[in-house]
Amino acid sequence: MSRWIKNLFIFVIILVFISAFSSSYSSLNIDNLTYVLAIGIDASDDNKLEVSFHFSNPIPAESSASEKATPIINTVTASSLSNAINLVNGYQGRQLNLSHCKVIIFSEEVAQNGISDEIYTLINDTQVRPSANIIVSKCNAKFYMNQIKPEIENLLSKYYENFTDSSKYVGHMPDATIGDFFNALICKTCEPYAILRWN
Amino acid sequence: MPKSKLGTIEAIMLVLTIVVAHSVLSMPTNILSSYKSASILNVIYVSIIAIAIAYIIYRLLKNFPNMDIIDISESIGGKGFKNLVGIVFIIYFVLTASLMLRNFCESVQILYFPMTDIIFIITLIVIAVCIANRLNFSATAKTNVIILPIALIGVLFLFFTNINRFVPQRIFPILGEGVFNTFVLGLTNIASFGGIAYIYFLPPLLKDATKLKKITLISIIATSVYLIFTIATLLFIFTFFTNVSEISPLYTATRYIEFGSFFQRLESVFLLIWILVFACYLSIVLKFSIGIFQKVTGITNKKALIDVFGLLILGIALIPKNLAISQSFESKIYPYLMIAIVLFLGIGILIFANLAKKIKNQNAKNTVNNINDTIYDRKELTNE
Repeated sequence: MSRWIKNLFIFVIILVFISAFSSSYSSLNIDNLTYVLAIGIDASDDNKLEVSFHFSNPIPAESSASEKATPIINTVTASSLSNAINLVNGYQGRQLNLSHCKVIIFSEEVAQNGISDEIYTLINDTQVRPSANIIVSKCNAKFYMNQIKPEIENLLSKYYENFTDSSKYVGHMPDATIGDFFNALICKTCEPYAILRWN
Repeated sequence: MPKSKLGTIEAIMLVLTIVVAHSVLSMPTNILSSYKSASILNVIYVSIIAIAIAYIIYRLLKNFPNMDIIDISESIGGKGFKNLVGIVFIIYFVLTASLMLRNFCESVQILYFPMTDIIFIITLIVIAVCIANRLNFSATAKTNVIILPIALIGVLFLFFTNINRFVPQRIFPILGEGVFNTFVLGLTNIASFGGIAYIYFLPPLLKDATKLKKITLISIIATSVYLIFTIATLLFIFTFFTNVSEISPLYTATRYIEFGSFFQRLESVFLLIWILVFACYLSIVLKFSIGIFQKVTGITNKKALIDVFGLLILGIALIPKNLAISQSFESKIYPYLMIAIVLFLGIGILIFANLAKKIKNQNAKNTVNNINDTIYDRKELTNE
């Protein structure tokens, strides 16, 4: 009898833990997430931010390998970056995930007003990689994202990941990551730098 | 020879586990935010003091072979004093481990289980530790010998793979915020050597008690080297680690490791190793706390106590309302608790016990001399 009760107790404990951890499993499941490849931040008229999210669009399995994925860009206006993420999460069927975000683009106007709040928000987000690049765009950030049409690279995510690699062999473009940017931002004797693009 | 006795390597790893488990949490952040560019210098300075303290502890323990601090307390102050010292050490071990567990589980929750209640994560680890403690202690010690070297190699790996990101100039100004801050206020950093507390309880657990000197010195020197590598990695990568991130600074450093596009996101592997190290740490704490409790109360049934102590750890871990409160224990209360209990109380008891023993020996010697003198006088009188 005591052995039976012991087994039942173990079974109940296992069930409790399965149900407790399943919610985290389903929230981080690839089927319930939508991956952001790039974030564009523009200034809005009413002193708010216009935040654009560039999503990955997986190519269906039946399509050919050479077929290019069409970019999906969603834009929202919010008072801060975290509010913008929450807004998009509110109406999009899937939860936003920034773990594959390779590039963060600020329009020149936003950059001139200061971007430390946005950098702190992003660096505190455990999903954002310190290797994500920071770009300051002379044009509108959303316009910049729309104009990115890599000719050689099929995958947009691959393009975003590799386009700063040229910093290894030519000096035209630095490798300006958010990790280095944040380090320089909080250092009293350093100057943070970003990639400047005209498109 | 009983199977539960510890070998030299096992004992060294046991002391090291405590520091490795603490370093995974906010201990490096506290060091870096307090001593800034002088962090490495402070760790070297504190290491020298810790080695000296460890040697003093060894010298004081040497006169009481196969006795731990609880037995020594009994020899000088009787059963009441023994109980008092035992309870103080149990509170110190259980309180520290519980709140460290809470901090660690909070980090794990933020990273991998955002929708799971913290109680389930803590309970899962506590159950695993209780099951491990039902086995012989040598099982924990041997598991520790396998897992801890991996964690130590991991820190070396972290240091060398991030070397291209290092800015060695961050060591300047070499004295950080001044001599007083680095060398006087910096003395509280001795709390980083939490493993010293366990040396007091090692003598009766060792297979060969004569190796205590070797174990004490090697474990503290290895701890120093480990801390220097950890702090150097963080100091050279980050501009003083500000308190912006709730996640462990070592975890943040692992996120910088990338080998092209093939090997990325190695932080998951590191976190897995640290979970295992943390489980070993809790097993050790549980073993020592139960051992002390058994000595104090005379209860022989260990298995009944495992669940009680497991529940106690779980209960204390759930007391803080949030991560900020449990982290403030680690940064504001733990260092003073460690210094008061481990250094002042522990060394105080040992010094007092040694003095008492010396006086006792002196008295015994005097008594023998007096008896000899009396016999000699009587013999002389008889001859006359």
